[in-house]
Amino acid sequence: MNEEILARVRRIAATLFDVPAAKITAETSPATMEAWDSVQQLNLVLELEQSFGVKLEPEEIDELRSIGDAVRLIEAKRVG
Amino acid sequence: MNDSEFFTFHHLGVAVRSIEKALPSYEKLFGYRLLSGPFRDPIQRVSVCFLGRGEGGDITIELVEPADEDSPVGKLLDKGAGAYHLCYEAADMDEALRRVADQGCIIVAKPAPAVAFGNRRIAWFYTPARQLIEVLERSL
Repeated sequence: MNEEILARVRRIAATLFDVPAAKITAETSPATMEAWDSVQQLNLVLELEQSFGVKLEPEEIDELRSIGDAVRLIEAKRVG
Repeated sequence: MNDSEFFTFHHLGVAVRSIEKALPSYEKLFGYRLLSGPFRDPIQRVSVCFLGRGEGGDITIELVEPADEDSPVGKLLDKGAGAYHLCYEAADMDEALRRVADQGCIIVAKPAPAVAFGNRRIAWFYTPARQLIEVLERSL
């Protein structure tokens, strides 16, 4: 997993969910982060798209289930 | 054609736990009447109905009830949602989605037929201003 992307995604998620970045890991998911609801999922995608200059498909948004998933998606889109 | 001509406002979507329980207050307080529905939409996993007053300039309200425990609208209601989406009609769905993507919106759901609109297609997007929008195809 790309550590630079992970660090940026952790900072974005920490700001969005209003928690310290130390609380966000690759394993953080809606199941472990109460603030991560369906609306915040969309806000997270907006922030990621704007920050990394990528576009996510509806299916990818549905399947984004953790911070690690977000990092892998961004990594794949940047390579592609 | 500019955006004000391309997209025309259609309705305001309001999430409710129960259409049956919500309807009387809209009728008795504000004089709305049932225009159509309720319709059960298995793709969106909701039941919906449309209310209006038939007065010039007034809007149509869509009451949206979750159809099952895992319905996305049920999760919104858990957070206290009431009015949660705006719907605009567009003649050309593909062009509509191109325009919203160009404005930095995210496409949340691709076009799918909707029972409540005689199987005309709807799609969903989310704006950078954090507003959920439904697009309704003007005709089949």
